[in-house]
Amino acid sequence: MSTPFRCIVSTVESDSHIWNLVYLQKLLEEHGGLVRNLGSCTPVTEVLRGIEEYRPDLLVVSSVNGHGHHGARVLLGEIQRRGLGLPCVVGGKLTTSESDNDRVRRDLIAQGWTDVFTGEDAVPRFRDFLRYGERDGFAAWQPRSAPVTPWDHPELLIAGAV
Amino acid sequence: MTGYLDRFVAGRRAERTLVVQPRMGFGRIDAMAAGLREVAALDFPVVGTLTLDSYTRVGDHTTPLERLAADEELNGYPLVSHPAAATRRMLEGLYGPSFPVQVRHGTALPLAVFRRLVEVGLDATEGGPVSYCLPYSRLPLADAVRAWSESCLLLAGETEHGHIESFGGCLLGQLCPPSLLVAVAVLEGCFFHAHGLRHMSFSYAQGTHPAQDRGAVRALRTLAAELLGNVSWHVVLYTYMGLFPRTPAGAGALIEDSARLARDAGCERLIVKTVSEAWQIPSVSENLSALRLAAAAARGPVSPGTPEEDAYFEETLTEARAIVEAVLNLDPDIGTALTEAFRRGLLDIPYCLHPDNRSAATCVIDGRGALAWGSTGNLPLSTPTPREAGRLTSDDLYGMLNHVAERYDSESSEPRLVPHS
Repeated sequence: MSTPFRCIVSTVESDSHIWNLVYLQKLLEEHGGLVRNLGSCTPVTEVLRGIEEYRPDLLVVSSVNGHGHHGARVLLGEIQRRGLGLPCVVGGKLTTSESDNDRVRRDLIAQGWTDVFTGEDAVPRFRDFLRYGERDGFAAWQPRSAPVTPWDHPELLIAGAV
Repeated sequence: MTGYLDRFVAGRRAERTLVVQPRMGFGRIDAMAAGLREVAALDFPVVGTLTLDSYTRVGDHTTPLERLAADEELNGYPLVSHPAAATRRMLEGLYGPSFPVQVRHGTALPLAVFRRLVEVGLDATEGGPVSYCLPYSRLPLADAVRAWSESCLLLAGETEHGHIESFGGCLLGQLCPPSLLVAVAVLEGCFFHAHGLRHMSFSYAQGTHPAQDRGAVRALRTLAAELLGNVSWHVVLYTYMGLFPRTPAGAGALIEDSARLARDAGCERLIVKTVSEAWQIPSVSENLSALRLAAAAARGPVSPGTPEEDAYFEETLTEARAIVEAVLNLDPDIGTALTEAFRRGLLDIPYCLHPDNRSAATCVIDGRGALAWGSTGNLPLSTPTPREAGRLTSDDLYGMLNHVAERYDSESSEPRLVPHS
């Protein structure tokens, strides 16, 4: 992407945290993003309106209050229902427990999120994603698959291995 | 006469004992009850907490029950969604003069929460028209001011000794110069007073530099005594609210330092964080461990003040007084004055994304490790700003957000309330 990309930063409606949003705005700007930051507690309707008005190349949703998994599902469901196809990524602390990260990542990628950034290496992986997007466009990104734990693995469960 | 919270805190103050309090909240009634029971059973002075979930904070009272029915966890107790009778039953035999309970909620439009807390027999809560709107909501400030007026009048009218703690001394939790925290806490106290409340507390969030924090708490007490001499009040310190150390030793040392700071600065109450804060919503046992750690660290004699602290006290008091006076002079109605102050930028919270915030003022961590103005925007201050903060990069910002965590993770075993100089 040679021209600057347009990007919306938001969170989910129940999340009042803002430092993640302030930080992401700066990070995105440094990678060539023109950012519209919708701020904390972003209602779904506000994000939809933002997408329709601003026509961004990328939607970045960050949530750290533990309710992001549910909020992200609701948000992307509405985006898809409206037929607003665009690369969407989400990250932060998406449930109340770190041990959910892999399960949640698989679930959200299956729903249609372009990628999910949680855990210790979330920011470095997000930087890689931005560099890739600047070069080849965000839509072409292939998320690294999340490891499947034995107890979440259907074949092992069926085989009685765990 | 005062309510359970004020009486309990005053009693412990007379004994020179710090009251500690968790930030705990669970979605299910049985989990919340079990948590409160375990906190109440601790053998040192502690106040119980009902922290509400974040759906309730934005006025959504149906999703909490749906999420619980779907077998998910909530990040707090949905006070308005659960039946009042069930909450009353939960509090029976627990809530009383020796175990006050405070409702912590984070709502900009708190009327439904206030109604319900009164209905279940409680009388102590927290927040404020500014401190629960600008940082935690996207609603217009004028709407929050109206809602808080009505809610304060309700609490003052429906309870004998209603208590509100201003969250103004925390705001975004970090990277705010202390004078603004002090000013907003005291201004919200004036707002509560104007709406009939006579029992309150003022929060203050632990910053990045112990001498600055001690000086700031002194400034807060001085201004509160000047402006709110005829109400019963105390000061509540919050253990550092920003990015928490990742190492257990670093997190533990930060919690202990916050307890010593509370003791040394003469704060009556401490809201304690847990060592798992960097990763997830803490469990009951993590809360109990943190409370034990803080209570133990706060024992022992007060360490003497320093000239460095005195200098921070003078600086913070001068700035805070200038801000408070400029705001109070805008309008005889305190709610109108607050709204107008933000419109003019006389109040301006660094890094706050709320549409009613001017966002011209910024904060940096200076060479001494203290919080300082990067830019004072249109604030009524003549403080020279140390450097231009307009071009902060994401790495600069991350470095400041990570400053405290980094320090405690890299040198976690040293007690750090010893003055630096």
